[in-house]
Amino acid sequence: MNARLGLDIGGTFTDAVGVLNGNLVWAKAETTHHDLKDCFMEAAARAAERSGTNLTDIAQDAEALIYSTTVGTNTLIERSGPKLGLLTTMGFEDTLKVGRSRSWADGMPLEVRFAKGRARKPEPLIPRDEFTVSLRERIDSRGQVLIPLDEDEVRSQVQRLVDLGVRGFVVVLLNSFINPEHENRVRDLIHEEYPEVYLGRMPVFLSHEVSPQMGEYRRSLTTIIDAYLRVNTEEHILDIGNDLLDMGYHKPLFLAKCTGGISSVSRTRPVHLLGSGPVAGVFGARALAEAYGLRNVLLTDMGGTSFDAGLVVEARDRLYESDPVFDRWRVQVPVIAHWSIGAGGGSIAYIEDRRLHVGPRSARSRPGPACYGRGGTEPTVTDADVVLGYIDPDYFLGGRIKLDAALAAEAVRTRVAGPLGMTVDEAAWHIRHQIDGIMGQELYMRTALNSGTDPREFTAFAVGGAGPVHAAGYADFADVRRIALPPFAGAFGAFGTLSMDLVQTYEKGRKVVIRMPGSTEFDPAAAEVLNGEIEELLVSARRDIAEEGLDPDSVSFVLELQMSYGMQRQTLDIPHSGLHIDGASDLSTLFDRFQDAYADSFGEGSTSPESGAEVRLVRLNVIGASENLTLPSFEAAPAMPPPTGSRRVLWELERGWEETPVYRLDELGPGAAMEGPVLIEAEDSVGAAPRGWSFRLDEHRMGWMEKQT
Amino acid sequence: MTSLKDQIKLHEGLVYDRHAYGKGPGWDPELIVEKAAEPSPIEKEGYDLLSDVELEIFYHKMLTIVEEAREVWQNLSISDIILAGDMSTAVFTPSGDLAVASTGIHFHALLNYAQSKFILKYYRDDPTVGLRDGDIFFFNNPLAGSTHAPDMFTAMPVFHEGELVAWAEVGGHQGDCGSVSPGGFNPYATSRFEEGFHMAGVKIGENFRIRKDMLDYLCGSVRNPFVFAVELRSRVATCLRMRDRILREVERRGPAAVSGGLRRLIDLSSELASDRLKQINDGVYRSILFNDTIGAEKGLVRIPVTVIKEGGEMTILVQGVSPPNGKGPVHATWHLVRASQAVYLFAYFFRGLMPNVGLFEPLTFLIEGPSVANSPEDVAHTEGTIISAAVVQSFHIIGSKMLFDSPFRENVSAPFSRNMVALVFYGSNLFGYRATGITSTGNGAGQGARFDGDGEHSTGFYWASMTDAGEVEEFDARYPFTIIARGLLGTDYHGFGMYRGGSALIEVSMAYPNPVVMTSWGTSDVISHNPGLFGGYWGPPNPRLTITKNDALKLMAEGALPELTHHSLAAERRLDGEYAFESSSVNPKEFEVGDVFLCDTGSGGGYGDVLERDPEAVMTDVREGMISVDVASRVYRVVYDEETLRVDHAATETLRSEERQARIARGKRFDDFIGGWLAQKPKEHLLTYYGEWPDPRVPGYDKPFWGEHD
Repeated sequence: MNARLGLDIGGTFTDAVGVLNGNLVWAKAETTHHDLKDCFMEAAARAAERSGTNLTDIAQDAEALIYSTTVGTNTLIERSGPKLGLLTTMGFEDTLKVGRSRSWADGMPLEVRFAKGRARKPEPLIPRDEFTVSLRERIDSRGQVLIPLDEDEVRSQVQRLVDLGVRGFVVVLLNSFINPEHENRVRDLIHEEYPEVYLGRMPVFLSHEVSPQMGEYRRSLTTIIDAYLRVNTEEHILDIGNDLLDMGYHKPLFLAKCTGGISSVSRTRPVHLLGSGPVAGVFGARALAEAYGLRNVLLTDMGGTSFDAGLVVEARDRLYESDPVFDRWRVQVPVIAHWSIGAGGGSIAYIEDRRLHVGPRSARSRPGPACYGRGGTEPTVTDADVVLGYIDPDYFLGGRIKLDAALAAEAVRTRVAGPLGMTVDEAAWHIRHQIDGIMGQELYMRTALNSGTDPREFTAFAVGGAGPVHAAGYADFADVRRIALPPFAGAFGAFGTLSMDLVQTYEKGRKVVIRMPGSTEFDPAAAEVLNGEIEELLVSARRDIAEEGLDPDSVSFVLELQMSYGMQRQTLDIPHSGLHIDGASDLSTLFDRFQDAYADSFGEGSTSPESGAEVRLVRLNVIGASENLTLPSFEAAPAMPPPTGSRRVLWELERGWEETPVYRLDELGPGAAMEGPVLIEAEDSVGAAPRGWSFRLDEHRMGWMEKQT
Repeated sequence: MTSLKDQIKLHEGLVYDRHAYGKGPGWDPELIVEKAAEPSPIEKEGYDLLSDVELEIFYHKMLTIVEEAREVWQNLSISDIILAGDMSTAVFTPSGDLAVASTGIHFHALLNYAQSKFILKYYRDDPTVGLRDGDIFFFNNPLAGSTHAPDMFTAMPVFHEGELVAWAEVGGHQGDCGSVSPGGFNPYATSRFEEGFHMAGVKIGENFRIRKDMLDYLCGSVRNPFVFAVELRSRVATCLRMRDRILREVERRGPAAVSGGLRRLIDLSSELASDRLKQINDGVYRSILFNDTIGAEKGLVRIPVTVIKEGGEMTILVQGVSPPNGKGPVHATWHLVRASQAVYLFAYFFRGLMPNVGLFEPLTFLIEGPSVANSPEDVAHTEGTIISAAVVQSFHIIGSKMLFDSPFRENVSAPFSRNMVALVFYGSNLFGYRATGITSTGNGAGQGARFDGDGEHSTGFYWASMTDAGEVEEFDARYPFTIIARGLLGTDYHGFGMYRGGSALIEVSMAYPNPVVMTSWGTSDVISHNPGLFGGYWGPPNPRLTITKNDALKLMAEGALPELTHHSLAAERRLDGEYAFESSSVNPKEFEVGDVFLCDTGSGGGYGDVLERDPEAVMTDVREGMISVDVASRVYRVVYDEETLRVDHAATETLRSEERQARIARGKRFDDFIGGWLAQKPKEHLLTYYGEWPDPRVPGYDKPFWGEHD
């Protein structure tokens, strides 16, 4: 048996998707926040059951178990990480507190940026005043020592932190990414004071090792978060690993990473686990796109509280986010581009200053939408969907939750329709229309910013509980004309983990001027500097490959250079075909590629070749390709079944209520096709194809909605 | 009954509702003072095509367009100031009014309309200029509507099938404008002709491309041609991006719906602003600030503000202002004073409403001129923002008083810090690039204390909604000097109060590894512009401090450098060297290797009585180094154990009670106070440019700025 099982923990449900006994199966379990191991095991066991076996058998025979976990996110949100001490350069102790003067807006919705008068910064993960100590030292941007390290001071500051009860040390010294001498010496001194042989030795995290890049604020946060998540993550993963071992699973437990790959526990940084779920979804979309020959796809995932999206452009493996933010923290991690806005089924509609607003505030699952009958009185998007007939109150989540349509209507009436002087139907329609507009327009903007092009040529995969019922609405605002509804839309993140390659990323920040402003010549010495950096990355990579016991011939090396024009902060990632830069000619080729990418992103007239060029970072990805997933095929159904029923739906205000046929997805066979307006109900979602859109189911049971006009 | 507004008495012979200068080549002040223009035919045609709710979605779309453009510009830029966020992207109606603005410098967007309106009136039908699809216009002339010469604006008309449907425009500060001083701020300028190049609404490109001759001319006029060229291209690329997006929306909704929708957004903002005003108590509110320089030279000038709030309208009267002096660049223009109020209105007073020119519709501005607030034609202007910001700060105090007893109390606070000292530099960095510009320390000003809490530390640039103070390692690689300390390095360096003001980001820079030309640009060397509110202390003034011929490099090499805080340098002088507390505005000079330059953008004022601050919060301030033990005891009147810093609550209450009684004992009757107050007068040499004392315009104090004095 060549079993592979992927698990993805979400806020409400934990999903498992597996290739088990030759079948692609998926299952869900409720997320158990008190102990994520419980839901991990439950979802895995259910998937095993669906394939006609049990988890122990799967564990004994499985090729790989891949896990996308939120244990780190929970640690950050709950602030349940260990007490850490920060040692940093004297004169720069306030770096986290200052937060580039923008941390009050980082990770917050757009409207917050307009409200400087109410700005509030997040409390640093390491308090400034007790747990941050300074060291008298300074290295300049060329790596030269301006102030030597005072070793006695290091010892006394470390002792001070130990006396305060810290459980680990984070060391961030200025320009250590260029010259790590001082950071390394601090570690040595700590180890001298607290030798390994004794109990209570505490870990030391050096910033140049976690993130060897320019930018002390982001490097500090990256290192701190990595340290902060380590204990909880390690305990949780080892706990699961031990249970799996007891069941007979002897392969590594692989972890999905936001950097766009998987790796074994021993080669994974905790900070790379943040946001791995949505990124796994992006890779799931990429795998399906590849199977269908699509070059540009969007992944759109509309759940209860958020609308998450990611994209694959020109079938490229990876498109990174520029300056990513985790929670409220700006970090240096090569995160695969994806984003999230506060729009979902639970988004609350309200009136302020006579204007209708929908979201980003959410009713979440408690109290939830008014129609849940759990005490919520504010109307949500789900309430609007119920009022408008899109959602059958008796068949929500396959009938597992019974909704109260009267409560939905009452909430819309009192909070929106009344104040705006509209009917309940009109108000509900506007709520739905507005959230679709917000999602679609944000999708358009983000796609344009990340890809340099508008989304007209993109196909959107619509997943998540509320995705299929809103997809045509937001696609319209995003200029997207084709939507794919995967059969396992409710467990797409878990599916995505199965599509991810084994990837290890090595980076080194180094500003190297390859061509001076005004010059047309490339500096061959710059190539040598870069080759030196590349060689160092290769040494680390080869060491890891050997330690992992991998066959060097089974992996590929992909080199990327982060480039910019002279003095520019914005960078683009430019792939290089080899692992060596052959003097000025290779630099010239790289520059040409950079210029092409630049023109693609910002327009022909925006290039500035006379500005010269710089390399800012060298990145080496080591990739062990995973097996391609084969989607199961099904026989075409002999005939189109009749609708399960019909109900009145308010698709368009001008046309009024329309009796709409309703089909059950599980009753449709491949080849089924219909014209909108039509509803296709599945166990965990409803596909809504409006007038002018068609729906068809293909041989893989993938649903396709396409705009006809 | 006579309305409050009708009781305003204006001085004869002075202008209030318009500029103190007339029409000239490339400018027409009449176009700048008027409110939103009469809608163009296409705006009227499309005005009702979108429902109220559809308009919300349309607004969101427009917001995504300007935000996408903002990101594109910052991505393309290589100018430190644009990267830091001193810029704006905006969409204007076909008739030239601001409809949608990105986060950034909102008052830039409120100035950009000047060139569009001028072009529409004077150039559109002029056969030598004209207005066509693909045109690119540029301006920076303060007389034509700009702030000052370093602020530069680019505009692109958006045509659909030959019809003008909108304008896409960007504005931002540039590192150099060819002034006598690198960076553009010439504190010794006595006329606008010493402040670099001035262009008023010039067509610099056609067919979506910049003309080579214009590019060469502009780049040849500044010290940083390479940066300037990249910047100009990035501006055009940004406008083009907005144009593409607007035209796509035109395809979806039709040209009239887009043009009419933009206009509706302005009118909706206007209606909602008026609605809010109706919920605020009517009355007459006053505040006053003084400035301590006229440029490089010391000199007191006066900027009083009176606001008359009545129903859904508000009049901002700036009267009793010092006259223009022609001796320095601290002169604002009528339009600058008006546009600057966006800093307060958009982020505080009208927070939550759509930030566009509609929020100004219920407002009337009466700005006395000729004066330093409404200057005549040929004076120097580059530091006019000092005056316009002083009006903003007073308006902020007034607004907070107005909002306290209103449904909008959440917006009540002491003003955001305006006490700026921004470091200006010129030299070659470690990588050989010639760099001229202003550091982003200006983006580290402290927030004023709020009605419900302390002010936040280092929160951004005074003029912008959200900015970035950057990271030192990047500056090490970009700048021709080295930053040796940067943080919240001040003790007793903010406004005290029941809630304290937020602290400034303080930066200690050193000329290293090479000599470098440096100067600064700023204000409040002696008199702060950061008032406290309802008894809160003011944020302190912040002159720049330089320490030359010092021993810092030697101490660094020995590993013996002391902690570099504001207190350790300014008060304790822990470096040996020549200390100079100087005006923030003096001419640039070359600093030798090792010379130290300390600057910051000031801390916010406090809110409420210091005796009402939670004693535990006072001790936290002591522990965090925000205040000294002296301030804890003598200002906050807290009794505590000096070793453990534990508060003795009973003794504290007794001490505070005694202080309250002592205050009553120190109190005076109003007439006694006024008698003593009027007998005081600053030294004569400080009044050279002030005008008459105490009211610059009329001898004798009791001449009212507004109505009858009682």
